Amino acid sequence: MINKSIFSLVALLSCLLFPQISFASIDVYEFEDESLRADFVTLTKELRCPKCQNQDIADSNAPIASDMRKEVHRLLGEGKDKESIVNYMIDRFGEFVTYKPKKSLETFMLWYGPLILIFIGVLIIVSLLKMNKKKSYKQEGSSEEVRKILDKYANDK
Amino acid sequence: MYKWIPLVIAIGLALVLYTAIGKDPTKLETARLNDPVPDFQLSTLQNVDRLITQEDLKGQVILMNVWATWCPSCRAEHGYLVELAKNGVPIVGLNYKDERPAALGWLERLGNPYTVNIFDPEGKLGFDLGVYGAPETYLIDKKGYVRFRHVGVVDAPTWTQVLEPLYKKLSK
Repeated sequence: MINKSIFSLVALLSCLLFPQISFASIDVYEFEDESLRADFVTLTKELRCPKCQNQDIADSNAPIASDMRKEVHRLLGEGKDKESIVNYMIDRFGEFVTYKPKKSLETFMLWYGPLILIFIGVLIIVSLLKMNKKKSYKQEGSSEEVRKILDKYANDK
Repeated sequence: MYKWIPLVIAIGLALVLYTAIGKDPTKLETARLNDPVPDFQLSTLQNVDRLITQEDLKGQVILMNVWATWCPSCRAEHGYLVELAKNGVPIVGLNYKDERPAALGWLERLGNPYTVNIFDPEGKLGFDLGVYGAPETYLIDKKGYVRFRHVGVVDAPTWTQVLEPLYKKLSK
């Protein structure tokens, strides 16, 4: 009896504490064929919710994300391809809305910045290594000079 | 020469980070900026039989305010909109994903600042405009082009510092 009431208390508390778990997107969509369903899944994961940023529209409960899912479903049903659906969303919500921004002058650094940084890093490492080599060579040379001088003075004795 | 590399990198990084300071990441670009208001045909809030289209928005510079009774921030800005309307600023309402009786009741209780209200229960025009959260306020020029969008509450500072200068410029 006590166990049971403790159990139900825990259950109640966990419902109160974690209410969001039970509210995943529950709208159901039907598709004429499975390839459309696959497109729907990829698109809703590639499109970003404008309201709750950092969630894709498949994951988000925001009303706008639900509207966007509806539109994706409708457009797929009309036979639109994936690219034109993404463009349709970009026309309305801006480049922000896709997790795969177009390669343009504006997004150049986004796509190629990391490569450029790696390249600069390699350049720096290589030149530092070269510099070290030169230095150690010079030191050898100078110690030889020192020895010569020492020898010279040693003979003077 | 090589000793300057860390300094150059630090300055570069500082510049990049500096440009991001003060930017609100929840504010998105306005995809419809400098585009005409999307085509639509919807009834007005007050009259089911009266249809309104993008053509009806042309002729003068207007504010288009996206609002709904379920939106707490819309309640917050409503008083200021009423004041603006009294000062002669034409405000078209876009009643977004709302219910007719609730919206009409709201206008009766709180005053009606709108010259006309577009009733968009499904959020269709809202979606085409790229509305992602009410309230939003658009500045639309005489030819029906979107010239500015403000996301969030319109209050006295927003109006005098941001919207009014643009409004006056467009009205010339």
